[in-house]
Amino acid sequence: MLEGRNISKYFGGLAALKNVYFKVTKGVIKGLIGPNGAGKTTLFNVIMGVYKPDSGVIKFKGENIIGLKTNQICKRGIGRTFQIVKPFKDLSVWDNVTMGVLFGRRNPPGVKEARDEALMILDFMGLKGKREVLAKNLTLADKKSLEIARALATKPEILLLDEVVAGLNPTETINMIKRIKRIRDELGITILIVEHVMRAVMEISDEIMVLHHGEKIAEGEPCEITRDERVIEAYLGEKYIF
Amino acid sequence: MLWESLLSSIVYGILVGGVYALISMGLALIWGVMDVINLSHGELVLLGGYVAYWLFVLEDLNPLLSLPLAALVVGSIGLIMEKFFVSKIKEAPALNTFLLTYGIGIFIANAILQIWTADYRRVNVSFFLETVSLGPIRVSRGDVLTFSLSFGLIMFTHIILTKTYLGKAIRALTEDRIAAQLMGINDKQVDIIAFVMGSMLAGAAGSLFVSLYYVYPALGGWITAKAFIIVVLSGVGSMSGTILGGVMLGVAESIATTLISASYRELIGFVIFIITLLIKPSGLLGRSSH
Amino acid sequence: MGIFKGKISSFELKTFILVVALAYMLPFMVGFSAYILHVLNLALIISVLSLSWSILVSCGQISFGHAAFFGSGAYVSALLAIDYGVPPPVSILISGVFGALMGAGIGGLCFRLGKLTGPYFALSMLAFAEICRIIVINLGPLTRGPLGIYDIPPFLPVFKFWGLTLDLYRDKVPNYYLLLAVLLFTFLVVRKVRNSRIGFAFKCISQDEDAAETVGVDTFRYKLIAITVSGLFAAVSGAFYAHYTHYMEPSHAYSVSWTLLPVVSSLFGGINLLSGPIFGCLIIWCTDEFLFTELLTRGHELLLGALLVIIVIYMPDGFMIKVKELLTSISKGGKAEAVTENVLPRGEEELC
Repeated sequence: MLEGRNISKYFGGLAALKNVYFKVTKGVIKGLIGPNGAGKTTLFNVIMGVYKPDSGVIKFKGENIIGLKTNQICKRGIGRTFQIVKPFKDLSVWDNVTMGVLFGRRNPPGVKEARDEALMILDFMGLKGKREVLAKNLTLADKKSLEIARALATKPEILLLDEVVAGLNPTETINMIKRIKRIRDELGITILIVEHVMRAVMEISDEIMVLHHGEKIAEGEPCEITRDERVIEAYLGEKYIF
Repeated sequence: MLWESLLSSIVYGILVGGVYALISMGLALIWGVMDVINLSHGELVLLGGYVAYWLFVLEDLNPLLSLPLAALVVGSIGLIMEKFFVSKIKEAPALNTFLLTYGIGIFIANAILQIWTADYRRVNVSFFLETVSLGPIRVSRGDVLTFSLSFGLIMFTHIILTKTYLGKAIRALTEDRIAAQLMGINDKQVDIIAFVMGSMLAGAAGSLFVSLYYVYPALGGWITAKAFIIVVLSGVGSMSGTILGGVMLGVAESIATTLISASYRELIGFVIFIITLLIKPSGLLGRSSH
Repeated sequence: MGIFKGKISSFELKTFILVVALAYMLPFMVGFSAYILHVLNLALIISVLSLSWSILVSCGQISFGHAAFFGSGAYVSALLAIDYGVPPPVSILISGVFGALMGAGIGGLCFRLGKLTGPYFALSMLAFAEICRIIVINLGPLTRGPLGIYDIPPFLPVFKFWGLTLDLYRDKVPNYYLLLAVLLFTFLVVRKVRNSRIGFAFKCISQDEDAAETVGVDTFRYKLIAITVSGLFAAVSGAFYAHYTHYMEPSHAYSVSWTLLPVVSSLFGGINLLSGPIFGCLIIWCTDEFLFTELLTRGHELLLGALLVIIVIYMPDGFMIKVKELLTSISKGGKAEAVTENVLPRGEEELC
């Protein structure tokens, strides 16, 4: 469904991504992990058209999406959340999600239908009760849920989640993991997830790929990854426990 | 003939660039530490210029001697600005401080208009106007003197910033405010000091400026624009970048004025401004600004 | 209380009708004083300018150079009317088109080529205004240079019949109603825009540009729309000003005032309210005219600058918010409206 070949991105002389190849097949939850500065968020930004890669192609449903603007990529069916949450602060939760319905689709409905649909999504994400609250007044966990809800509102076929579990407490983490699974199982949306919390990413991912210094060093099922020599080496000195 | 005038204009541009660099250093200091783009910076420079002008007219004081006084006066204005206005809206969105300093700039410009009228003022010291010849190049003594003084002041500030505890605190805040706070730096105090230092630099630059150019109340915005463009060119907090940026702007202006009709002289400056912004929004010469 | 309001509420409608009725009766209330009406007429013209500035702000962009549109609109319309005999109503419309094109051009440069945001955009607008001024001064043959243009024809005709002249221009009252209509029209257009898809996109962009782009808002397109519409109305405002005052010269057409006034009035009135810039402008303009210029004959902008400082520090949301709260509480029988904010505990601030 989403496939990238030979993707390289340099900032000055520094390589953030070096000849990265990746493939996300329809219907899977794919984890993307790697130590700090491995290039995970850069990869997201390249996919979303925020940065133009120095080389490589990215194909979404067989079509090259490099050179498209972020908003066009969104309308093609790729949704995204931010590591540092970026809700529309002064808008209510409901309005935030309605914006996604109104702008993120190729054939957007009218305002009334958009609001109804937004409400369904809020219900799905467990935010229905807080729909009138201004986004800036939400807790971090709710802000992260809101970001996902807003991305879902654009009717994506694939969702890129950037650290949606990091910073949440254990209960919130469990809820979030459940929701992510439901997004795939019930809505049939493919997911590519960047996550630092290893327990979470091991639990939900069908496949995992590991980036280190901008290079892909491993790819496979979670249990394979945990045994991979290069992965353990890359993480050595970091505090993650497998 | 063209070559000679071109060469002279390059040298002149370099000399003027020194004062530009000094002006922009104050702006960059405040911008870097507090993330405040002080839009009244040009007016502070003007104020320094008028103080020097007054001391010259009333007390017959050479502008080079009145420089510390101008710096002191403008520095205290900066102190008032920081303490009573800018610090009040630290938490507000960045554009609010921007609007605030815009308002202060308008206030100062019109206060200058009240006190000194809209007439063009300049300090004319005959010693400054004499030209010195270096082969084909001819420059005035004033230009050389102000350049050397600007350079000296920039170096002095640089030494303060790199060698003293205070300077290190200022640079730490520029790098990462939260980390600096955690290291026990009193950021509020440093903010005030940085703002006052930036204002003093503006005042000092003003007293040099007034011996080179005519000043009038509406000139402030134009000075701010120049300082802004130099900071954009050089990045916040790079001394060599600031000097290079100032000199580049000075030379570009001076060459363009020599080659293109004088009636479009002012236009050239603004066109350079727009082109710089459009082509390179941040940090051409140094590390990128915020 | 989302931003997607359905129909206009009866309360809003009532307030609107009341305000328009008051505005209609104002000439009677000031006893048809020519001086007061003259000041009011100018206030109405500048209100259009303030509204145009606030369109750009609603899209998250601050301009420090609306004088560029205002002055150019004034010049285009005046020159068309004098040198080419275009009737003022038509020349004003053409100047609006000119302002829109200028906005689109500047928008294309700043938002596409330069990707300028925040202070960078604000200051380039300032530079554009200066560039316009210098060009107008130097294009002597076309613009009459620094001395300016005299005898710009009025936009209201002078009728002559049976030896009688009915000079609609000299009489300030017809001007007042015409300008009031222009302002109302502008207000309704701006309202329509801000309550449409375009307005919602503006809202997203002003909140967070990256997030807006990620949910599918074509930020460049909408910013371009904002500056185009803004340029249009600012130029129209300038054109009316030129025809109303008869005289235009470069340093007045591109004066800092035309940037400062919209900024101060919009902030004073409140930029989150549609009517904020209008009421803000009416009050600021009249205060400036009746009080500030009396206090300080030269440099009355000093007090405007001071006012801006006070507003930014003490009431960044503008005074109209307070008025609206007051009116709402009165209309609800003293019961304050339930506020949806702060129902829940505040979210923890993220450190990352």
